[in-house]
Amino acid sequence: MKVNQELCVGCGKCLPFCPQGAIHVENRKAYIDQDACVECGICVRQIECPRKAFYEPPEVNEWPRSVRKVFGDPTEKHQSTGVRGRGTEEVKTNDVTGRVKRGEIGFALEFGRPSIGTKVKDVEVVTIPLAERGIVFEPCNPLTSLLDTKTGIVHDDVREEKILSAIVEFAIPFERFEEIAGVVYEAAKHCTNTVFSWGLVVRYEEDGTIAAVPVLEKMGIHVPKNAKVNVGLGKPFCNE
Amino acid sequence: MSHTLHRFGPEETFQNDFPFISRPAMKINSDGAAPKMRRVMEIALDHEPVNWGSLTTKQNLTMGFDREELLNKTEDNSPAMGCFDDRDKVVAVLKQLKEEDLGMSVVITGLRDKVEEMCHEAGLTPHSADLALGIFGATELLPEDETLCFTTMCGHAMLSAGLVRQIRKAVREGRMTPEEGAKILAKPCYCGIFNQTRAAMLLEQEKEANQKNEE
Ligand code: SF4
Ligand code: SF4
Repeated sequence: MKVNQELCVGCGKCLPFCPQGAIHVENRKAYIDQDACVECGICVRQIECPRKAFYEPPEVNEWPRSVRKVFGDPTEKHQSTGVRGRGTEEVKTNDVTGRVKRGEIGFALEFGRPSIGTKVKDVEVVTIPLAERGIVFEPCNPLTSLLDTKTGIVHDDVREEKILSAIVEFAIPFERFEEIAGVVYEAAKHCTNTVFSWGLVVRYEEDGTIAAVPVLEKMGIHVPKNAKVNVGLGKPFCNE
Repeated sequence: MSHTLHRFGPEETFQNDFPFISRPAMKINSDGAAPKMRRVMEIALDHEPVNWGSLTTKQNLTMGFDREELLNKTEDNSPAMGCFDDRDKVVAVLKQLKEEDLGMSVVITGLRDKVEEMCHEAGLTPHSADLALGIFGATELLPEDETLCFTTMCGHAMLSAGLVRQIRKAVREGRMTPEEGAKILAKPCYCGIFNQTRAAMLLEQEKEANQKNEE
């Protein structure tokens, strides 16, 4: 986004609102650090600027900057990556799609979350070691289209783009869980430019337990109690 | 995406925090789903969620919206999104959804054992779950824990740490009530999954702790 310098009076009211802290005031004019801005749109939509000085310049929708908006602005539907939004339906509709079945486990590693943002290239800290182990990244996830899926390397044109967050998403057979969780855990130690929030999509067993929990505990990974539970109301119901 | 997951804070602060999402599965049961999604929304709204939102109308309950207008804008792929601050209301919603058998998927976020218990009470068997394992990598870059408790209630990260700090300070200094502060913080989250009750409680706790320190 940009600030129309002719309109801005440098009041500074906008400063606290930007989730990336990308706005600053200098010589009584507000400026947006174009490297730091993730095009989330909060300034245009919500900041009560007395002069309505924020605006979206055309380059926001031009490649490769347009990926920022795809991954940053939840209110817009975009086609520049060929896939809508930042993620997929994952566990939300798993009772119908059967995306993750018993005997499988889904990973959702959301880079840049919470609050920090990420350069697209920073996901390589996990995508490269995962690709080396033959992991197949979720084709419906918009991040996958920004990678060479064989190597996990991010395409040159989007490497330096800063985005609010992006999810490395894939599913594996449960037998490989300990191996792949170990790869992610190890990769986290080399993730020095940003953070990632780690979600695991699991299917309940017949007896109501979750097979991954004791494996994680054995590995010394604490399993917090927060979870998103698909309550099984979807139809046609997938019982696999 | 995993947007209602990864809420940050002490376990006891999630006792009354239940984000709700329902949606059809694209290309499987989404064709002609609009009336069913509309009914899901009606049932949820009848049970007084603490918040509700829509990315289509870019409105949430805190900002105020016209219920009929929102319902009339329901399309085949519209998700139903909001948050409850009372487990009994969620159980009642789940019971009614089960009874009406609309076939739309529903996810409830919260403390896992609590949500599982609520499902059983409504006669449901949980199908699958997304577990939050926490935050990894350069965690030293994160805002302080007290601020993260608020910013992570908007899963799309639309709520800035700067605004949270400003409101926390205003409440601590008595320039605004916790409820007023919570209302301001809820605004950027159009999905309506930000829980004002939890936010007001966190602001109140901080204010009280601050007063005790000053005594
Ligand atoms: S709120 Fe508007 S007028 Fe005030 S500094 Fe920000 S952009 Fe300029
Ligand atoms: S678009 Fe978002 S990140 Fe960019 S300046 Fe506006 S509020 Fe900040």
